[in-house]
Amino acid sequence: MMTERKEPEQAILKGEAELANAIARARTGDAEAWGDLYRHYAPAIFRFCRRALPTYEDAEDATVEIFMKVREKLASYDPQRPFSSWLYKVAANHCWDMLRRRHTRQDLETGDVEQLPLPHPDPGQLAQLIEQQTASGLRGALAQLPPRARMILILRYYADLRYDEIAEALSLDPNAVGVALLRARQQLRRTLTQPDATPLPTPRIRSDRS
Amino acid sequence: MTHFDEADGLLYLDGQLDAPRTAELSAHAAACGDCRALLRALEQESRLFGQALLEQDEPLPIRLLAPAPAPARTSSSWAHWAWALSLSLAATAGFVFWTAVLQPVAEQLDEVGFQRSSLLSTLFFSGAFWEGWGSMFDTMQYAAAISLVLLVLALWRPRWRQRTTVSTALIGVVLLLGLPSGASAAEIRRGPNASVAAGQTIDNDLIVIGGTVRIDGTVKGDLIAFTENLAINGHVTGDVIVFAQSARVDGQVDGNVRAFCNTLSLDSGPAKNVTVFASHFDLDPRATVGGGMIGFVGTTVLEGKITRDLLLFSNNATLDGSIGGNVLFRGSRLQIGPTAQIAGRVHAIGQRPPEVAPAAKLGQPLEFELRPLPRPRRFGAGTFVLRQILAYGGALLCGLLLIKLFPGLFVAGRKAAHHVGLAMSIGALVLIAGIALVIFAILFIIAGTGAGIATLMLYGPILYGSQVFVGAYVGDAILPKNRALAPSVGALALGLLVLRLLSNIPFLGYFVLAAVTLWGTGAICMAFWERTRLDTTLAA
Repeated sequence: MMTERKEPEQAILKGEAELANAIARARTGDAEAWGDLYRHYAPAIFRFCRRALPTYEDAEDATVEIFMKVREKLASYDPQRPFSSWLYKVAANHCWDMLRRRHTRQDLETGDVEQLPLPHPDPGQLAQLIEQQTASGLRGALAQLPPRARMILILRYYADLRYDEIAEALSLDPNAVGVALLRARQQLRRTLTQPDATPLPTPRIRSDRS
Repeated sequence: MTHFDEADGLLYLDGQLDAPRTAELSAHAAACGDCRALLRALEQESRLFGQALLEQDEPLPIRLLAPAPAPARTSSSWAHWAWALSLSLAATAGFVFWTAVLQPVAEQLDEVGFQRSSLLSTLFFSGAFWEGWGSMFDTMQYAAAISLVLLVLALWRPRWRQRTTVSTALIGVVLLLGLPSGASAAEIRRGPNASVAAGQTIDNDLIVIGGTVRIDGTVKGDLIAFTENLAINGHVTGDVIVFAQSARVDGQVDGNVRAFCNTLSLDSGPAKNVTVFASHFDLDPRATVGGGMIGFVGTTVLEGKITRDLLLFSNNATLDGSIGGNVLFRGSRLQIGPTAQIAGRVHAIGQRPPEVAPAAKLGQPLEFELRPLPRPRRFGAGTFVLRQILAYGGALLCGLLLIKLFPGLFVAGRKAAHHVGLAMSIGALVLIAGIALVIFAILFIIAGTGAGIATLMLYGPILYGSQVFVGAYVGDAILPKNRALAPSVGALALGLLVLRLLSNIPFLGYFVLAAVTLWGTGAICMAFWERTRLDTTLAA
């Protein structure tokens, strides 16, 4: 019944050159360029936070705080690397800290999840499952995942980070990213097929609460 | 080689494998249909994730409209100013209402010597009305204090904005309201057998609901009646509170009589005061009211005795009895008959002078104040502007609260307002059903007093809320479509302003208001429906 908003968000800075120029000027303390950068990236960062954090308000707060951090850290940004990756890394760190401060019940830290055997899916079944999914259903299931699984999926498929960038953002062993990502995808599938089941039987018992 | 597993497939697709392994997998996939299918499925799944995550399903918060945040914490974005402004407007509105409306009425009451307390406490909370009110009033005070504290916390500690906490607390407050203890002590009788026969004694407060009810026996407590016809011939030791088509009291009432009736006849007066809202009121020559009387009555005939003061708002009144105190009358016509005896002063306000029979005995000369009643609603320009600003501020505050506390609901309602026809028809249905619901709630006030009051109180916010959603829609429609930051205080403020202007067009304005109310109410309902449906699908 409700139509999704289709209109694209206004791009403030068009093209690589303009973007690079704005970044360079913002690093020298140009307030106008900083304003442009903010308006250009704030919507994307807000949506990132919205996917990563439990509530709309949290995402709103986090977006503002992330940009304050970014402005402080702008000098330490290496212009050789993509700006958006760097930005998402800062955002991921911030959201991760927020979740950790909340003492979320679920497993935040790198657990033994990776040691679980990976079930081999039947390609036909998998294709069928994928076909049945809607974007909103998927988002609903995502919101139910434990934060770590959610974060890794968002970093990969929303922020479009590379494996090594994900590893850096989440302080993971670069070789573990693939397995963690796959595990998160399986958790999401599981939530989609059995919505009532707890996202994953948390295998860690000893340090459930620290 | 053997089939590769999902992990290999994912790493392969994401280009994470070294060259020899990649070549190995490519070769195998070329030969193996199963593995190709797995790769295809994984790739499709990745694409679906990307789509689902990137989709712009929610509008951006207003706060991000504000200038880019600087490292030094200058959190005073202009949304805060809007807050401060509308809060102060609301405070002014409350103050104006209190000083301009409530206090003069209360003072008038004081003037005629009515218990020297405010209007509210005279009418409702004096304790004599019903013990239940007392406990409920306490509860309401606590509830108000709690919600105030919650609001202050929410405003002052930006981090403390766990919506769930707030809503849990609000639900708790509502539940508290639903638990007044007063009603539990009373005996409740319904239906045709609700009458109390002669000789029968009820040792408790009595609540009766029925068509025709006669109280011939004794009620040792308060009597609260919701009836078509009520006749009291027996004895009530407490107060009588009656909602009825017609009511007649011929027995003994030791407390007060508070009546909301079409027709009320007192053949014998109560020992204390009378408060009456009625179309016709008749005080029989035999009757003596032990205290004073307040009446809001169409046609009044007073032939009996009132020991203390009389405050009467009446279209048409005939005074033939005796009154021990002062009389304040306001209405179109007052006749003071030959048998009338008034000890105190008589102050009448109306369109024409009272007709006083020569034989009538007045303690002091009659004071009359000419005030033509059908005053055209003519406000000075200043008052008019002030009223408009206050109404505007109220609606804006309502919208801001909504955005702040329930942004999801706000967004859903704003979307729902786009379905104009549907929203309007749902709104019409709900308003009509809602009126019935309110009547129901009043009638069943006994079953759950808190629930009844809460339902009544909901009506106001709904009417304001309807303005908010329609206002947001109008603002959206006016402002350019592809703004980077979608719903905003700005759009809301603009839309509400437009609505306010439109509703002030002479004559047409009423239609605008009616349409807005229907439309917005529909949007609210659709939003609620949408939200609950969403929640249940997520939970399922």
